[in-house]
Amino acid sequence: MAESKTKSEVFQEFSKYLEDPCLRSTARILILISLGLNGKLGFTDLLRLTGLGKGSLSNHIEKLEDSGYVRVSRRLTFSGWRVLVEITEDGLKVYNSYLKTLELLLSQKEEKDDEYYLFD
Amino acid sequence: MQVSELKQIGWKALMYQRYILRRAYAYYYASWAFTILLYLTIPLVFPQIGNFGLFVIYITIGIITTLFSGYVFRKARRRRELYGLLSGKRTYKLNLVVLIVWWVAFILAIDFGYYYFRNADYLIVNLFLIFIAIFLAVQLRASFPEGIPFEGLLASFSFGLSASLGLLLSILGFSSFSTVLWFFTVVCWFLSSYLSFERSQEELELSRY
Repeated sequence: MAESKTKSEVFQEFSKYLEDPCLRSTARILILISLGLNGKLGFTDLLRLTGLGKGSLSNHIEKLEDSGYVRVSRRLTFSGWRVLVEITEDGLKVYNSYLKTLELLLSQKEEKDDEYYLFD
Repeated sequence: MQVSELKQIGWKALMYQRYILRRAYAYYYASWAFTILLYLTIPLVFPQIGNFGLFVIYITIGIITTLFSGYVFRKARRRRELYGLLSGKRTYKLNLVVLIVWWVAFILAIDFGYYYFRNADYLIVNLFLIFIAIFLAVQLRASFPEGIPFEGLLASFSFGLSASLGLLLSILGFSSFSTVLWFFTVVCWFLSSYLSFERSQEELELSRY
């Protein structure tokens, strides 16, 4: 059963995640959202998603893995060994918190987005 | 971080997800095209297999393909959820339990009804198949709220056409001709699979902007 939370609780929850130095990066949040949608993605897919170089993407994934938001594994496929990045339970919590925050923002259509700062 | 920035990130993920979904649907079309082809050809190639044997084979193939369909529909559902939140538009919601019950009933109707109630088999099966065509169109619309890709329209139209004409033929007493229609559907679905792979690259280009 989902607990009902007040608006400020939902915002606070997501703001707390954004306080994590690991998530103070649009690229990493983008990776987490995409993994939230798919469960897991290959390294090539993440390269295409982010448009980053291999080194830069590896860096971001390493930081996410060190913080426990993703898990990296290597799998043998028909086209050879592939690096797979899978979202963890903690990563899913961030994704779900993001969705709840968006849901709240939708309910406040008349106010401008720029009035809200989730992290200074 | 401003809220508008967070929304922008969400849109970028959503645009890229359309590419992933279109690619997943390519496998979906191919798997069902192959399944329908097996359904049509196994009795012809292996006439010695009895009704029960065919029933078991069909159920097994149907379950495997259905499980894969579930994987594609789960991706679609998650995309639809995020799309609805970012766009503020109401999106279709398909109940997962209804989905599963429907597919199980479909596989049982095809396999069980077809081989054990021969007099009414084509009528029952084609009625079910028309509902499947409608369900597919609804699922595609929900998967691609911005607009169903051409290959999706081709797949659902060819399926619906074969089911409708098959129903008409079974009423007129020419049910055996419906096999030809379903070979046509198989060709359309393999074509849809190819187009889905090819055109998913367009989504990849669009997601970069």
